[in-house]
Amino acid sequence: MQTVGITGATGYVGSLIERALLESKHEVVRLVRQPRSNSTDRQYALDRPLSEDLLDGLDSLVLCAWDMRLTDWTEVQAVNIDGSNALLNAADQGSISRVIFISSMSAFEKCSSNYGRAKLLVEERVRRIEHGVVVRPGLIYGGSSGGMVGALLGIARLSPLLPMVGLGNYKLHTCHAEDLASLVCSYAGAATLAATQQPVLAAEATGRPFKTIVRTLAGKNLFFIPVPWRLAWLVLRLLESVGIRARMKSDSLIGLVRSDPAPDFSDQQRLPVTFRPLS
Amino acid sequence: MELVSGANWCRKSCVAGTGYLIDSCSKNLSRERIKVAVLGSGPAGVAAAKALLLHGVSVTMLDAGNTMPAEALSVRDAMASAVPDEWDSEAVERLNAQGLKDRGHMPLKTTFGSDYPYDFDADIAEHGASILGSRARGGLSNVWGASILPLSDADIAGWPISMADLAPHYAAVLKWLPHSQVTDELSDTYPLHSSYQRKLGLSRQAHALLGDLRSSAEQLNNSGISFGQARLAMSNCFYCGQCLIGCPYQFVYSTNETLDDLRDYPGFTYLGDTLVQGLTEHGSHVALHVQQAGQLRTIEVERLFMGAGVLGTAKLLMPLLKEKELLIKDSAYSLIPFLRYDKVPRVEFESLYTLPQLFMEVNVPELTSRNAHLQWYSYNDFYQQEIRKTFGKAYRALPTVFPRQIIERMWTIQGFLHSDDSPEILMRFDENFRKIDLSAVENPKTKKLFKAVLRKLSAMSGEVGGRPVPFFSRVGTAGGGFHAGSSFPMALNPGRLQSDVSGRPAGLSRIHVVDSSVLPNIASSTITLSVMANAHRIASDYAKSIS
Repeated sequence: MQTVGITGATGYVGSLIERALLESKHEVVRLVRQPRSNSTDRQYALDRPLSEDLLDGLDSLVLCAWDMRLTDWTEVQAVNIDGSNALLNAADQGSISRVIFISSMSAFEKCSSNYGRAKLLVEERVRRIEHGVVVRPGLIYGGSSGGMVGALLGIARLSPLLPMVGLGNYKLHTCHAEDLASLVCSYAGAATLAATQQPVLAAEATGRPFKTIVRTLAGKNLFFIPVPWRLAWLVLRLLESVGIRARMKSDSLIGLVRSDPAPDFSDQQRLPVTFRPLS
Repeated sequence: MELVSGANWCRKSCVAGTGYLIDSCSKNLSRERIKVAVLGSGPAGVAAAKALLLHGVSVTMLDAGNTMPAEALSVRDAMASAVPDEWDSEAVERLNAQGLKDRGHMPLKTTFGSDYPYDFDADIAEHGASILGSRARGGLSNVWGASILPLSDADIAGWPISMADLAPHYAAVLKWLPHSQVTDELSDTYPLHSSYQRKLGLSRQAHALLGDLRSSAEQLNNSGISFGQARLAMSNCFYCGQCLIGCPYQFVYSTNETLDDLRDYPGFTYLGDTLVQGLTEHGSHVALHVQQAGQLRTIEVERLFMGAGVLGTAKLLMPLLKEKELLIKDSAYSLIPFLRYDKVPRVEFESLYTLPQLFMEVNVPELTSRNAHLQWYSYNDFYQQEIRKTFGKAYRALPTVFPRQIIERMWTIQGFLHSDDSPEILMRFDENFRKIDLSAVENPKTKKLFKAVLRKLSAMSGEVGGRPVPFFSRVGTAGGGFHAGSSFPMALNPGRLQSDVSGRPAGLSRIHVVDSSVLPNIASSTITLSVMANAHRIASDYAKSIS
């Protein structure tokens, strides 16, 4: 049994990983903005200084925290990048035997989304930690789907008509949340499992058109209304410039239509988890 | 740091041979005793300091430590506070307009419009040769091209140390030096020395060229040409195309990054604004006569690691050794325009990095056993400026389609030769060691070899998919490529102006030179990573010897 600290435990991905860790009989310490009373929770936020004893007694650390609301690069830098790096620095100097950073498949060379760029910057810090592991999940689904998939499925439940950015033919790789959680558990719970300096792609190796993914997950036939992506992006940017935050950010849209054209899954056979195909 | 004495120290003397007059009798003057000091904050200095600290040896770094001027810094910070898509394009254009300075007939990189890294205190007369020094915090790494390639087994043959001695230190340096490299066609000859692989996104031009090279790999290899993706000391990239004017995000490595890390070690002390004017070695220590924040003082050091760069090191050691003439080896370099047959449209709008995209090693066995090393640069914004400059007033008369046809096919190759095939630089000091005279000692092989490389590329034009343009090719002056050194080369039995394998020049026991001055020769492949590995080796060996 390992004592595993986890940030972002109140989020979609973090909560699924927390549950999987608990099911694997690990002791979980949640590093959260608002600790619950009578719990092992510790207070932590990306935008706050770290308390000195934050990482005491932890064997492993899983970083899921990421403020998705931020759009301005200076804020992304100050909160998400610097905040993550501060925690990684502390982990590097402490006695933690394994650090796992939940990145994203949006992070790849020449990615043009700020989200992907920011994740890449934190990945570089993780690489310098001897037992650091970078996990890049694909499009996560399963559980009570959150994020972009959750938003689209919410609309699909109400109507068979769904707005689709572009023609929806851009290919994405899906990742079932349970498989991701299982992978993270394997790394967090087994100190003997070798860390890899290469990012681990956590997704099905087969890429599928986005509209196929949405249709499959909705479990019903959907009719898509194409919206030119540049127009959609412009509208979202305009809304963001006047302080209105839609459920989808302009930057997420960039990440969607300009996904990694050739992700390298060559190392996937060596992973302790098999990623299930979308069905 | 142990204070030996200070308040009553009074002295008026001329430090032997240095021309450096200490004329002080002041209560402000102090003599301090330091156990281990590193001189210089460039690649050699930080590598030595890091090795010492990792072995538990406390280090004081002495450094002139000039920093980026406020104006340049504000430009950099403004750019770094936004992503490239949000930059003020006019401001970037203005910066590009002052990005490269003329140095003779070759371009000299600046950083955010400033040439402060090249500021150096020396009275130098150049006669067909030049060596630049630096007083910047981070030295010349502030304007480094970031190419990293280790020595090959063939390169190190004949050195007094073996690859087995150096390889662990390449690996140790690459643990903290950010790098982007992948296993490819060059890996057998030039090992990666690191398990971390990061494949930078090639430009479309590079992607097309590499594809052509790979499809003709056998023919190219048979004619002595091998190639691979450039290996670069870069932690990341936003592909904004501004590498040559300075990376606003500081993704291109400079030793400032490591200096910031070193400050986290409790045993590390950094003394900036410290200019060493002269030094003397005594039985128990080395006395460094420094100007620090306008004050003259002496610092006593029990062990000194010198990483002041080939010019700075020579300037300090020659008076100490009472020598007036020094021969410096150099890796000759040239700039070769290359035009591909197939164009890549709209290159100027592409997201790319503008450091070398590909490395190529060319062997011309009829002239030398040493490889020529070629760094291939695809499009950057300076190409448009160069074309305008080349055509002068005629440029305006040209139909716009003409420059576009060139730009979409154009590459620049930066070629380097081994020091065996390059000119040497004779450094002469005047009687008082105040003036330095640099002159080139030409090597008849240099031009022949560059021409042979051009001929070989032309002969393989079908495989390479284009041709070099000899008419516009230029060979740089000796020392102009920044790959100079071997002025106090390591030898097993060091003689006059040679060093032992610990970098100690003959006759000195407490001074270890760790910069390129002690390399036995200069390989055509890049120099900096090997300098860092060797500095790390020398410092580690010392640390182990005292533990």
